Amino acid sequence: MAIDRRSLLLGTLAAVGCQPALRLTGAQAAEAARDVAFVSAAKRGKSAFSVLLLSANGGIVREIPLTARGHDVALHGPSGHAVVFARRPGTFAVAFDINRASEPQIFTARDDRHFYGHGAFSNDGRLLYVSENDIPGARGVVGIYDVLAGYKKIGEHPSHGLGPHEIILLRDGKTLAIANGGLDTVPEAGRENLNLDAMEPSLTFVDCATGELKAKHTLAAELKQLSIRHIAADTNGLIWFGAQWEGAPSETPQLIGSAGLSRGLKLIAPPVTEAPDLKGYIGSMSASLDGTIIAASAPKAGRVAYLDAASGAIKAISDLKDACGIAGEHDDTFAATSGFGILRHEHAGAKVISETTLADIAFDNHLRRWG
Amino acid sequence: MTKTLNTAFANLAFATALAALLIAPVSAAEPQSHYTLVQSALEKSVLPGFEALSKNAARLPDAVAAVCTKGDDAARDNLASAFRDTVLAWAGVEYLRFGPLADGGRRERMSFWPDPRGIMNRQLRQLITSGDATVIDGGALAKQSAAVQGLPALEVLITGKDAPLGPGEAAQFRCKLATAIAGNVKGLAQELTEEWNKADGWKDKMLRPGSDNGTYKEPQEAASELVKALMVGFQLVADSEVKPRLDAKTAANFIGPFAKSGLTKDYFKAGIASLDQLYIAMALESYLTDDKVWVKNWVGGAWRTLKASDGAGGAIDAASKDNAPPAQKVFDMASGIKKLVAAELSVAAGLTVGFNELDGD
Repeated sequence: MAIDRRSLLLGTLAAVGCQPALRLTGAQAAEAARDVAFVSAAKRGKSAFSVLLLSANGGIVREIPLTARGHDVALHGPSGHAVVFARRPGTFAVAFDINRASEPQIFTARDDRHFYGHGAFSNDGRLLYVSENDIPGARGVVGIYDVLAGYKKIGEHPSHGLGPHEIILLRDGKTLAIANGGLDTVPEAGRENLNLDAMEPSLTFVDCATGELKAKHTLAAELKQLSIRHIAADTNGLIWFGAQWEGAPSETPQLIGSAGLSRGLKLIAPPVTEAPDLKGYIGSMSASLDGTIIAASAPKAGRVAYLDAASGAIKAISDLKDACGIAGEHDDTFAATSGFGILRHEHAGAKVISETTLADIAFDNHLRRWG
Repeated sequence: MTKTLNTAFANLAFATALAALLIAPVSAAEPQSHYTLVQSALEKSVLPGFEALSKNAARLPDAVAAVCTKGDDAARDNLASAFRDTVLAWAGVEYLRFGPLADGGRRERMSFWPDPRGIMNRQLRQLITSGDATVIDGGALAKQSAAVQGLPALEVLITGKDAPLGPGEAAQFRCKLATAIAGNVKGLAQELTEEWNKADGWKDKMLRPGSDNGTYKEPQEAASELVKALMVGFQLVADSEVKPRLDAKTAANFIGPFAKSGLTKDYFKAGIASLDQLYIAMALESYLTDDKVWVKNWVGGAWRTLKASDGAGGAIDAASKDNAPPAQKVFDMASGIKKLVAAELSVAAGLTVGFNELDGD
């Protein structure tokens, strides 16, 4: 169902307005912001949703309530701007400032669009790119929002695919890498995928100024039900993707692979029969700070796979039930979160450094490192 | 004498046992094992559901053939009845989206719904216009788009008033197509039953977890699969069948499942009945501790609402129409049970389903 945008906006504002943490003074907020190490959407209790600003040890520095489930958070370091997006096929986004406890700004998708839960800032922080669905046109688009104009939509580019999910800006600051999941959804059909037998997943590289397609990589016909959803860039600018298999469980292929502007999609080497069972779903991808290690979380399997970016070999697998959020920290360490409120720090060799459990919290799909 | 002694001993033993029973503290029954939960769910709900689908779908080809050769009212009524029973049997299993139903695109091929873009109608029209028998004969239909293979496409052909199925020349291709779809639906239903019941099939997988089982290592994993299915069922009822009715804009364009044959409300009721059957068979409430009685009470009230509703804001029967639960309440109750299954019942049963693992994104 298409949530009425006005009701949503009013509801979200009401929820945000009653949050005591937002009544910090400017000085208190600035002090608190220095502790922020991670940002993640989450569920509190049975059905309250929010975005959490967390310290490295899992303390909640600030909590911004949401009217419905969030998904990923786009961050812009220099300005402190952050935006959390509604989960597919949601239509709201909440912008807030990491450094100041100012009132969050809510903006919604156009009536004929819905969000897919992801977005990315331009390097200068003036623009926000958001993965969206052109509902009547059944095509993926990248919405372009003017940050300083209160997140006003000023245009859009084609994603050059169907069902764009995660989008990231490459280091050149000019190219967007877009994971087109290949799935068609509309709000009135909820989260039902409408085209499982006619999926068109792809990874596209798009000029963020002109919308021009620089490269489009697709999978072989037998892998057309491998929905490319989440991506991360390694030290060499290669894009690593994690996918969700929508086909027969008995035919689940390898779920992790990589591609470049001039290099097609390539799944990692171990045949799926010899690889650890990841249960058909990668929920999140992240690179280590130096970009040499890639982490892929598999919540259905309760695992995180660590890969050597140079060789594509799986270095280690760690076990964490319902693990999904994953973010590179220092050298070879990562932070991982779970739907059971766990924030864990661990080496890419799957050696746990520390772990804390937040009571009454279920972390959502994505964890972003701040600072 | 001996008999008297034996009787006396027996009486004493009985009295002692009775005393022991009276003295012993009353303890709650041991909660059922995860294995028992799975066994009960399969025997009482899942397997009978697929058997009903297979049995009813098997009637379709002959029923279509009778309409296409005779075209009398009796044949049409018989086809409508076979179609209705198949659709309602489908409502009872379509949320079991794991195992055989997740394989080979069987769910979409059996019923391409929801279809807000009208893909089925468009593709079916193209197929009829083409009149190309080679894409439907001899099992070729199974290789076409899922949209034209299943029950919604058959419904269009059965209910079409402008060009009804019948013995005439004008309906020849439509009859050929309806025959192919009916055969395909029958075949899919048979496949599902076979895949569940064959040696080393999905039933065995769920009942024989272990290190050599590629899907379920522990009984807990098989039981969790059923918990997830239950949650998916409530989510589908809430999000796909009821939620579109809550917003005036979406309600205007919403076409419920099998609306052309007037089965939308019956479909909802059959789905609720099946979820109820599965819920009872799994006996999740038996794991609740005394301090969680409120869960049982709340869920009990929610079930009463769901069972009193026709899914469209009306009552399940005319007698109670004054107390028809509004669609918003039905949505809230279906969503609420799902939340309590996730947050309380599955936790009590040691079958917690992760927040992120239920449906990927």
